Amino acid sequence: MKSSPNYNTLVDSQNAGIDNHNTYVHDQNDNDQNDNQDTVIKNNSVCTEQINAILNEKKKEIAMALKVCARCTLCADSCFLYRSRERIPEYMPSHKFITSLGVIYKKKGKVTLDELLHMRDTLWKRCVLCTRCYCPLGINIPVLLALGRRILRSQGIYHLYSVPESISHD
Amino acid sequence: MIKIKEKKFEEIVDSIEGFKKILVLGCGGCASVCLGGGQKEAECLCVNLNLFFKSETSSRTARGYTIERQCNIAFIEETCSFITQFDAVLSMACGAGSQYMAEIYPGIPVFPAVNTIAIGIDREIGVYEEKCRACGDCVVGYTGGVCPVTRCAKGLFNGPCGGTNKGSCEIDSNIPCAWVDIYNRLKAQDRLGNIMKIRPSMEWQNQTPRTVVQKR
Ligand code: SF4
Ligand code: SF4
Ligand code: SF4
Repeated sequence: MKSSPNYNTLVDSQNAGIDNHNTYVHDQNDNDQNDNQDTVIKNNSVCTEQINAILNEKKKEIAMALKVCARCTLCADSCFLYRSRERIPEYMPSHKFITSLGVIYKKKGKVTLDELLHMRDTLWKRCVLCTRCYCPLGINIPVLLALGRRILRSQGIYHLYSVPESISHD
Repeated sequence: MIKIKEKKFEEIVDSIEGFKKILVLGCGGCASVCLGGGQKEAECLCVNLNLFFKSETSSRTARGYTIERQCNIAFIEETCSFITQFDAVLSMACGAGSQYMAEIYPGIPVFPAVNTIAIGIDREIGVYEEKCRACGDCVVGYTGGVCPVTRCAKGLFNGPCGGTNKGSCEIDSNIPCAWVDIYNRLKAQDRLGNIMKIRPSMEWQNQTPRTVVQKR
């Protein structure tokens, strides 16, 4: 398995669909009024190769984290969002990386668009990447969550702040 | 959060003159929240730069990439594997982020593609209002929750000045006088005593960059 990153893939990956100049600029001029969270998705498919290129770069760290996490829930209380969201398990730092990056990794990048869209909520709405969570076993959870975001970004999936949202506790 | 605004395209183009391979680096933090420098904006700037390069018939290229923060090494690290492929970086983060990028990569010129405008609030999507100038010695506890440093044109701690004009500031009748607001709010809360004592002015001299170390 190649462990050195494919730089071009990395850089190209976030440019998926960037040649579609007109559409993109038009979207901008159209003001984001008509946007919904999904308009950023440039093509309706997932590129497993791109995802795997990123996964391979951090293979060791991901595998180690998934192996080492004892589900002890000690990281839970270090997350202010978890504490302020009535301790809903979905906000637990470990839960967040296991159900996002963990799933992508276990499925070897073979995830569907729907799965990635679902993970977007976990990775953006349930974590602000404040980097304050603490794992007694030394797992760097925010870095793993950021990696999850990076994979989603590579597929053109990220949270759109231009779309109004009712304040929810989901 | 920090509010930023993209610089004029001409200024951006000027700043990177002579550089061939440009990395347009978005920031997924505040810059993204205020719709000024996230992935969408970085990709858009990239498209416009590439169109411009094409019109120049040059072989220059711009590439877009967005990391979660440019003010934290844990997230900047992601760029170290490919940043040397570029001759210059156009950072879409705030001044703190772009300076940190420059510090981490001493050999690569980093140019700001945005202006850092304010610490502010979200009035509505796309509309942001400055509320704080990070003076380092917050007084809004005495001024009814209205910042005189940010809102008063003269930054007075013992206002209003003689120019206050029927609730407006003397520099512009469309700008409400901060001190009238301070007075009204404190009066409504029966706290006028808060502004009866003369408050010494802020020590602005000899300011050096501030570092925050929280002790707990
Ligand atoms: S980085 Fe995310 S998971 Fe960790 S404490 Fe902050 S909000 Fe919680
Ligand atoms: S680099 Fe600046 S804009 Fe980006 S997250 Fe940090 S403070 Fe906010
Ligand atoms: S007085 Fe104003 S500028 Fe100073 S910290 Fe308070 S809100 Fe910010």
